[in-house]
Amino acid sequence: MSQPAPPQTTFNFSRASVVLIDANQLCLQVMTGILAGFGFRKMQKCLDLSIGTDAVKRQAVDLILLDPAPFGEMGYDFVRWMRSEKIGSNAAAPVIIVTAFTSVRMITACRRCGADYVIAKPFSTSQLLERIVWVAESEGRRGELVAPAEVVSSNGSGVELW
Amino acid sequence: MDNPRRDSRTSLAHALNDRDGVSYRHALDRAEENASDYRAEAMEAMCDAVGAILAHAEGPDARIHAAALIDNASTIAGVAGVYDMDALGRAASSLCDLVRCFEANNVWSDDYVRVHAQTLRLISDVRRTPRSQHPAILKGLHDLLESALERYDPPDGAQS
Repeated sequence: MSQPAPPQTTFNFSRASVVLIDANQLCLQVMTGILAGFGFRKMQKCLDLSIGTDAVKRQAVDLILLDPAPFGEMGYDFVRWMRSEKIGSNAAAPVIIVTAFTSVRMITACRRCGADYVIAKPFSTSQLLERIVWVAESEGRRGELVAPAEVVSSNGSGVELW
Repeated sequence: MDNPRRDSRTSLAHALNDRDGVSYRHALDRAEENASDYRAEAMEAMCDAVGAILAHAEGPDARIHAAALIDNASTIAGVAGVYDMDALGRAASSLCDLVRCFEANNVWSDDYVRVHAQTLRLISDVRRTPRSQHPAILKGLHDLLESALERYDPPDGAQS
């Protein structure tokens, strides 16, 4: 896992558009509050995949946070659909999967569907911010298959996908 | 699957080192302040979820409550880390992996589920279980989950 963002890093996420998809209302509310604290202002909260699909079709999206578990295989189909290049620039939007399921089977499914990163639940606010900043910093380099220093973050709460 | 390369920087990349940006520390402080608005609700939800998991796990047929076990465990795992209850969240995540393993392999073990439920109760009892005990508790639960995965979902498909 990459090192945490240095203290002097600044960011302004106010113009970035985020789509959050999670079937758990409380998790969605808490995540929204956290992202608002990070500076995100354009957030689409989606309790189901159909709302998330509409959001991705209607607007340019800069980041997607998705918990696919409640939706079964359809959760991973959503990411595959996004990557299918039928939806223009959103096809390459960063996708961070946030999930309580971290078995090898599940992580493999995340990798195969085209997600960029997996954040394991439970996560802290600092871990979430670190991953988002890493995703922002790594744009343009995804797909280069640069070997990571470690696949699982040292605190066990993140898995990089390459 | 390879990700399509983006030809131009997006708003997310442009957000970095913005002259109107906020510092890492400032962003974290604001995020935690916002999260605190939901603390009471989250604590209540986690408490209710632990209770529900215990009730299902210690009932006569926990298997029929598999979906509820996952829902409740997911609720805990989804918010516990934000409110400094990481151990509770990890135990809940372990239960999620366990039940999913059972479902995927069409098997069930009440014992494995009950141990997870009792572990959740143990960790959530903050008066009787100090944080210093959490690593050992989670290590035991991790080993239990690994034994379940090895037994019911071995890599080569052979089950004991």
